[in-house]
Amino acid sequence: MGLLWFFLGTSVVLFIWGFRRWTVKNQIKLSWLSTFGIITAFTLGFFTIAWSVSSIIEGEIRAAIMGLLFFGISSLVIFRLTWRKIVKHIQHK
Amino acid sequence: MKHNDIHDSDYLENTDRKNDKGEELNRRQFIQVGTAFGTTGIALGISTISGKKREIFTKIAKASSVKEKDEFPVTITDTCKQMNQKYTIFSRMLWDEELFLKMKERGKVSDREPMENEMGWTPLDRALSAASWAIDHRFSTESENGQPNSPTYEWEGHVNRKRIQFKDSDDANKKVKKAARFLGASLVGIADYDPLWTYNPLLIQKLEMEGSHDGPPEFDLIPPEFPFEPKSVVVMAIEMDYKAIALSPSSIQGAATGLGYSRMSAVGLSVATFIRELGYKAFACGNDVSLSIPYAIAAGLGELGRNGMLVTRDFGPRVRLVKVFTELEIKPDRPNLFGAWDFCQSCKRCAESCPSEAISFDDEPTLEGKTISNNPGVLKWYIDPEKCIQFWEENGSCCANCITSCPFNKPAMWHHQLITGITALPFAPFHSVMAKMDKIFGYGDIYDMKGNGSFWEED
Repeated sequence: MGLLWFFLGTSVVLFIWGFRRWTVKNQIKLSWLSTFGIITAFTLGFFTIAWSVSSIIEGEIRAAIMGLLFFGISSLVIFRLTWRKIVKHIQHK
Repeated sequence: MKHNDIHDSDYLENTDRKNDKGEELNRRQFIQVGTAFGTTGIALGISTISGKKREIFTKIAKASSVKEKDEFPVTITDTCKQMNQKYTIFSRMLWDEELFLKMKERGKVSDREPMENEMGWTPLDRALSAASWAIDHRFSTESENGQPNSPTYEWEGHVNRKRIQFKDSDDANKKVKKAARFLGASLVGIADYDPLWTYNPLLIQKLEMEGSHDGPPEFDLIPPEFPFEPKSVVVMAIEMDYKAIALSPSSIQGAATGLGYSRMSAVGLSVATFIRELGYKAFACGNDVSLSIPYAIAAGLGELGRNGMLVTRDFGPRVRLVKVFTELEIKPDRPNLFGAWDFCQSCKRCAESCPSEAISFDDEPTLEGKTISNNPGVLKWYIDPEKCIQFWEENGSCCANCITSCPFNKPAMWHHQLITGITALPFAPFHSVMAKMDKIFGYGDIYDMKGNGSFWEED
């Protein structure tokens, strides 16, 4: 479990760093809604990984799969909707 | 390019400050790299924190979802009286011919066929169950059926003549609870002694030690006269094994139950001995002498559930309760609420999983019991103990389906603690959704067939 949290912690740091570099490099200024959407999507994504790995460790395979479906798909949907908004914003600019 | 615009990233990146050695330093990059390494270091540090220190984070999380109450959180009316121990379902199995007739007339209460040599009922499983009950049966004989004053639960033991004085009752509270946890209690709390919960009269079986005895068991009914006047009750919960309980109803689940009783004996005797060594009279009791659940609620160990059991925040109803009565005055703890009672109104998972339909499906609790084995006058969902015990007889082992299926019955993992915290929100439709999600995610399945095979294969 310690390894899981280390991996997630490192991923969060890399995500924040990468996201910031990407917006700065491409001179993108996101609206608060888009920023919120991206953060929510990735937080839910990390939560999905944490949930599923924890469920596998405790032997609840069905809970792990349901976690991937429920939280993972929600994360992808939010990301997709937010990304479309960002792309529209860039094209408009 | 507007050089005055401090948000212009190109400007910032091109503003190189060269030191004497000609290296390029950029303040923004320095902060980014420093933050990245610092955060990574913190993450590494947190991930390696030992279990003890990590408890601090758990305590902070719990504190945000647990509410302390001054008053007893269950409604008790004047019609509630001390219970005659003769009418508890375990006692009635000794004498009540009408109960046996009723069982016969009712026929089978479940469609479950007795299983021999099936998973959970093999000689290996039965041996494990017998072993788990061994200490209880040897040293606390019949205490699980209410027999008081057995060797580990003796009322009079050696008391140290030198009495230790605590700074105050609060100090006594801290020290006694610390000792109880050290001696094996999973949860511990202190309650004031309340005679309402003491059985009156007590039922004492005449246990035959030599020769054989034909005929029904004999017993006496005696008033609850203890060798001292109890002032405080140390209430302890003993956690039962999660994976074994998940195999309810089977011998392996029976083993988890038996081990719980055996550990109750050991922990109860140990804590009573600790208090006696401090110079105060004390004795332990399990299912005997008094009801346990009201004391556990008063001591802040949990809430009353639909299944009639104590539901704790950490383990759900997957606990056994042991008490130590003492003349030492200890500051009582306060009841703690975390949303279990409210959740029970919508959930009904235990009622659905009960094979004999002994648990109420009513939306609202009542003040009236269903049988003479209930003690009316308390606002709760009353179970039917006659149907419950009849299934135990048919099953060939006790049952814990209501424990297994309870959504609060979870292992100690972070995501379950998080969900328990969320269910503390008092919003009924939300609770129904949470209860359904618990089922969809596969938690609380009784007689977990796949798990049964792996029980013996796991370390």
